[in-house]
Amino acid sequence: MSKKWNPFPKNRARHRNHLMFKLRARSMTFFVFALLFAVSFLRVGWIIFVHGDDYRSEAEQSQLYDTEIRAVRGTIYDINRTPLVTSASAWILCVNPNEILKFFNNVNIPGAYEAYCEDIGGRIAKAVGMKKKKVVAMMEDSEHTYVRVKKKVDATERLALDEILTAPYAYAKTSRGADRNVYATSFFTYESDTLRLYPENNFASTVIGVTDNDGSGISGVEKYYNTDLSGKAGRIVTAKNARGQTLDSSYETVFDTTQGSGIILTIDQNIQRYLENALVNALESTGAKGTFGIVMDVDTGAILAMSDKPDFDLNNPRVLQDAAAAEALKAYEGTDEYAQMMTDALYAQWNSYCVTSTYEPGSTFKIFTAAAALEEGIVNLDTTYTCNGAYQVAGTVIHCANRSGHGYQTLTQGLMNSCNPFFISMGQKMGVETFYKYFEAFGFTERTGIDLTGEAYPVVHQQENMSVVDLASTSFGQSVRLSPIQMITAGCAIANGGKLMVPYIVDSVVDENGNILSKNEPTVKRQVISEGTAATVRQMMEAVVEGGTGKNAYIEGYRVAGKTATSEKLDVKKTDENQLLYVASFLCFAPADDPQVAVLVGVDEPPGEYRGGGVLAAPIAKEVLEPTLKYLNVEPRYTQEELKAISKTTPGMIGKSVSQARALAEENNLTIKIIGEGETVLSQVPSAGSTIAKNGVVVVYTNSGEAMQTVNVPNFAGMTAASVNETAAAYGLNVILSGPSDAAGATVYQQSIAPETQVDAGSTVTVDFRITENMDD
Amino acid sequence: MTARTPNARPADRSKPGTLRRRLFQHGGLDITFTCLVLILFAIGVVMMYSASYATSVSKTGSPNTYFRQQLVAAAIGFAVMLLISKLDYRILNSIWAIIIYVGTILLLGFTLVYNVLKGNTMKRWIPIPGFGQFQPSEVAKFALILILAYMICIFAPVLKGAEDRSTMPNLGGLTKGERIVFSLFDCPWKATVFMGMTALVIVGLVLLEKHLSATILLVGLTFAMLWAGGVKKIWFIVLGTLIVAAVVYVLYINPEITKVFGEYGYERIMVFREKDTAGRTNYWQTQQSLYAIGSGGPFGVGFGNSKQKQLWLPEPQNDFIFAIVVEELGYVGGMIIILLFAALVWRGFVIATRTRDYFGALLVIGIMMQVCFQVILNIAVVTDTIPNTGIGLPFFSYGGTALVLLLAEMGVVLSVSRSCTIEAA
Repeated sequence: MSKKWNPFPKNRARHRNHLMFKLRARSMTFFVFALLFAVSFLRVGWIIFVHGDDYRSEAEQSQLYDTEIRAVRGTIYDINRTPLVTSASAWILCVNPNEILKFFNNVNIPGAYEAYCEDIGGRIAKAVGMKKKKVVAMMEDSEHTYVRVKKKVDATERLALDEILTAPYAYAKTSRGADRNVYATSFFTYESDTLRLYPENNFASTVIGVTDNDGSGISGVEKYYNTDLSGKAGRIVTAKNARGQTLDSSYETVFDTTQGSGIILTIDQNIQRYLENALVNALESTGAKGTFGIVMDVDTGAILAMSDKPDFDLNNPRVLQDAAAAEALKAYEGTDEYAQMMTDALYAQWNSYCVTSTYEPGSTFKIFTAAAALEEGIVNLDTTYTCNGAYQVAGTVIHCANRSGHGYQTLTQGLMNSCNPFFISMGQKMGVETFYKYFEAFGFTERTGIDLTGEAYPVVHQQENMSVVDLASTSFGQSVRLSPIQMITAGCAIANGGKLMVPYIVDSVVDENGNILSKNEPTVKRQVISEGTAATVRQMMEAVVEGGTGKNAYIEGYRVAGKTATSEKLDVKKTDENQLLYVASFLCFAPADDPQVAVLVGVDEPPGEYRGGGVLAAPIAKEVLEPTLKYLNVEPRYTQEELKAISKTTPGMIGKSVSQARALAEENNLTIKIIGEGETVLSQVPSAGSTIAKNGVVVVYTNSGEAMQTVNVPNFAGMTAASVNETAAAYGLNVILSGPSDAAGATVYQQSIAPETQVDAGSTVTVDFRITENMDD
Repeated sequence: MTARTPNARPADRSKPGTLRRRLFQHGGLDITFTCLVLILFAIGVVMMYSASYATSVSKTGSPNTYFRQQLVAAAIGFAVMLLISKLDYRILNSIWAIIIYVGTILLLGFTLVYNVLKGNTMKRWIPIPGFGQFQPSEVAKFALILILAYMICIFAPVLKGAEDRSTMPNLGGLTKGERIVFSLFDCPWKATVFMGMTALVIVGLVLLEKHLSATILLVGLTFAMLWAGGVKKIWFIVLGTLIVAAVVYVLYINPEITKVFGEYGYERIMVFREKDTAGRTNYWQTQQSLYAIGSGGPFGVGFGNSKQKQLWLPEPQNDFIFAIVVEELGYVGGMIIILLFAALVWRGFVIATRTRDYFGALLVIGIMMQVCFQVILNIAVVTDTIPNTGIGLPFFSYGGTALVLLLAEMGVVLSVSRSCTIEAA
C-alpha cells in the first residue's frame, strides 16, 4: 500500500465539499423516501381501505369452510304430551371429488382412480341404499371440492359407512409387496342433519304435515309453526388450506344452535284414533272417494281430532296413496307436465281436506237458517208450514227431497224432515239483508283463521249480487261452498250458546324441557245469536237424532243433537248423466243440554244407490262420539226405557255350587247354561265382571277336563233387533245392541266380531244398528 | 506504509504500525443503527417463522425447519457483522475494490456459462456442494457499490468541478495506477462515462442471467452512487427520461420486445397487465398476495393467524412475506415496519454525513440505497404495483445467503460508524 494520507486538507474547501455531499445525500433520501412511502403507505392503504373488503370476502370464499349445524327440529305432541313426531340426529355424507382426482394423479397408476371410485362408490351406495352409478358419478365430479352424496344418513347407515370409510384401500403394492393404502376418510366428511321420525305412519298425517329435504315444513302444522319448530341453525366456520384440509380449531368460530321448540297440539291422540278408525271403516265400507271428520271442543274452538281419508304415510309422504290418482298420473309419465302434476297430486294428498277444501254443506246449513229466523223472531217453535213438495221463487221451482211433500209440520218437524221449502220460506221472509247479516256473523264470508296454512276461502254469493233464488238455495245450504272447518266452527256457535270461536289446533309452544313458551288462548270472534236461540236450535237438533233423519247417531245414555245433510255437487262435471255426485255429512254435538264436543263427518262421493247423510254419515259420527264422550268422562244419563235394556255385569260363579250359580243368575236376570254333571262350577263364560245384555247367557262348566264349547259367530248383518236376540240365544252368544235398535227399520250394519269367527260359547258380540229407510234430508 | 489514522480516536492504545492498527478500528459503534438492525432482524425472523409455518409443515413435516435454518444463518450473519464492524473498511479503498470487482465479473461469467452449458432456463444460480445454491448477483450488488465508491473517490475532483484537487481527502494518496487512470479521464463526462461503463459490465452480466429484479436494483444503485458522487444532473435527467420511456414502452406499448430475452419476462409482464388468474400459476401468487393484504384491515388478524399462509399464497416465507405481515399485523403493523426501515436508512445517511471519510460515506450511502430499493421493489411487487420480479424483503425473507450478506453489509456500515467524528450539524 503506497497511499499516503493527506492529513491537512484546506479546511474551508473541504467543509464546502462536505456540505455539497450532505445536500446530495439528503435530496436522495427524500427521493427514495417518497418512493417508499408511496408504495407502502398509499398503495397498501389503498388495497386495505378501498379494496380490502372485496379482497377479504373473495379470499374467504375459498378459505372458509362453513358447516351448518342443523338445529334439532321440535317435537310435536298431542294434548297429553304424547309425542307424535320426534327428531333424531342424522348426517349428510359429503365428498371432495377434486381431492380424489388429485390424489390419484399424484399416484399416477393407470386405472387406479376409476377402480377406486367404482369400488368405494359401490360399497357406499349399498350402505345407504343409493344407485351405485349415482355415487360413482358424484365421486368423479372432480370439478368440485364439495359434493353432498347422501342426506339423512341415520345411525345404522352411519355405522356401515364408518366401516367403509375407515377401512384401508390398497391401490398399489410397494416394491416389497406390502400394500399402499389410502383411507376414504381423506375424501369423505359428514355434515350434521336431522331426521323426522313418525312412529305411526298415517296417524294425523294431514294435520302434522310433511317437511322437505332441508327439514322445513311444507304442509300442516309443520309449515304453519315452521319457525318455532325449526329453531336456529348453528354454524361452524373453519378455515382450510389450499389443499382443502381443515385447519386446527384455533381458526374455528362456532355459532351455537338453538333447538326447535316443541308444539303441543290440541289433538287428543285417543279421540283422533276414534275418528280415524271410524273414517277408515267408512271409507272401506262405502267405497267412497273420501271421508273427512273433525271433532271440536265447542267452548274453546280447540280441535280435538281432525282427519281425512285417504291420507298418506308420513314416513313415505311422496308415495301417492290414492291408487286411482297414481294410475291416472302414470299415463303422463315422461311428459313435461308430469313433474308439476305430481307436485299438485302430492300437495292435494298432504293438504287437510277439512281446512283446504270446500263443499256444499247442504241441509246441515238449515240449523243456521233456523237460528237466524228464530233470532229475528220470524219463526218460533210453534210456527207451522205445509210442504207440498216444491217451492217457487221468482219463477224457479225448487223441489223438496220428498217430492210428494212433507205436509203439515212444525218448525222442529221441519228440521227433522229436513224440509227444503220450509227453510226457503224462512229465508224469503228474512230477505237478503237480514239473512246476510247472520250469514256473515256465522263466519261464512271469511276464513276462520285457524292456525294452519292454506285455509280455503268460502265460495259464496256477495250480498249485493244475491238474488232471491240464490237466497232460496243458500237457505238450505246449496249453491255455497264452505270448508268443513267453517261448518263445525259455526256449529259450535250454536252448541256453546252463540259464540263464534276461532278454531285452533296448537295448544302451546314449549321449550325442550316442556316449559310453555306461548299458549293459544280461545278467542271469541263474536256473539252471533242469543243463548236462548241457541238452546232452541239445540232442542230441535236433538229431536232430529231422537226421531228424525239423525236417528242413526243415537247413543244410549247420551243426548245427541245433530243434523244430517246430503248435498249434491252441482259444479262437478258428471261423466254419466244419471250419476249422482254428492257429499253425505252429519254435524252433531253432545250432550244436547250441555254440549261439550262437536263432530262433523262427511262422506265424499259415495258410489252406488243414493243414501243420505243420515245413513252414511250419522253412524260414523256416533262411532266417534260415543267413545269420545266416555273418554272425556261425560256421565251417561239413561232414560227409563234405556235402563230396562241396560246391560248387566256378570257375577262370579266359579267355586260356587250349581244351585248357588242358578240362584245368582236368577237374581241378575241372566240365563244360565250348565255344561257337565259336576257339583261345582269350575269355569264360566263370560268371566266375572264382563258386561252383557239383560237376559244374557252365562255358560258354566262343572266337569273338570271338559273342553270349552265353541260356536261360530253368525252374520247378523241386516237383522232386526228381535232376530238378533233370537239368533244369539240359539247360538249361545251374548249380544249388546248399539244404535237405534228399537226404531222401525233399524237393521244391523256391523258387528264387533266378524262372522264365522270361532269363539267360546257365551262370548259377547256388539252389533251396531242403523236405519236406512225414510232418511232423506 | 502508514496506517490511515482517523483524526480523532478514543483510546487507541495499540502501537502504530502494527497489523492490529492496520486491520482494526477502535471507535464506538453507532448504537441507534445497531438497535434498528437488531429490531428489524428480530421482527423479521419472527414473522418469517409465522409466515413459513404452514409451508414448512407441508414440505418438511416440521413447522420449525425454515425457522431453524434462518436462525443458523442469523447466527453466522451476526458474527460476520460484528467482525466486519471491527475491521477497517478503508482497506477496501484500494486495489481490493478492483480485485473484488473483477472477481465478481468472473463469478457472474462463470455462472452464466455454467448454466448455458447445463441448458438451464434460470441462469442465476450455481450449486455449491454441501451448501446449496448460490446467487452471485447478491455479491454483485456489493461489488458494484464498492467499485463505484472507489472510482468516485478517484474522480472526486473532476466530478465536483473542483479547482483545487487538494481539497479531496485521499487525493494526495493516489497510487501510481490510480493517477494514470485519473489522468486518462480527466474531465467530468469522460469520468462519468467510464464509471458508467464499469457498472454496465456487471449490470449487463446480471441481465444476461435473466435476473430482472437484481438488474433493476443494480441500475438504481448505479444511479444513486453516481448522484452521491456528484455527477452532473443532466445525466440523470436524460437517462432517467430515457429509462422511464423505455419502461412505459415495454410495459404498455410493446411488451413483445422483451421476447428477445425469452418468453419468461414477457409472460410476467402480460400477467401483470392482464391480471390473468385463469392460468393460476402466473397471477395466482400476486392475487393471493392482494387477498392477504386486503384481509389484514387496519389492525390485522393477529400474529400467527394468517389464513393466506395456509398454502394459499405460494412461498409466503419468501418474496411475499410482507403480504403475510400485513395480513397478521394490519396496516398499522406493516407501516411501523416500513417506518423502521425508513429509520434505518435515515440513520445510515446520518452516519454517511458524519464520517469524514468520503469513501466510507459513499459505501454507506450505497448499502442504504440497496436496502431501501429492495424494500421499495419488494412492496411494489407484493402490492401488484410492478410485475412480479422476485425480490426479497431485507431481514424478513427466508434465505440464508441473503441474510448473511445483508448483515455483512450492515457490518460495513457499523464499521464506518466507528469513524464518525462530526457531530450532528
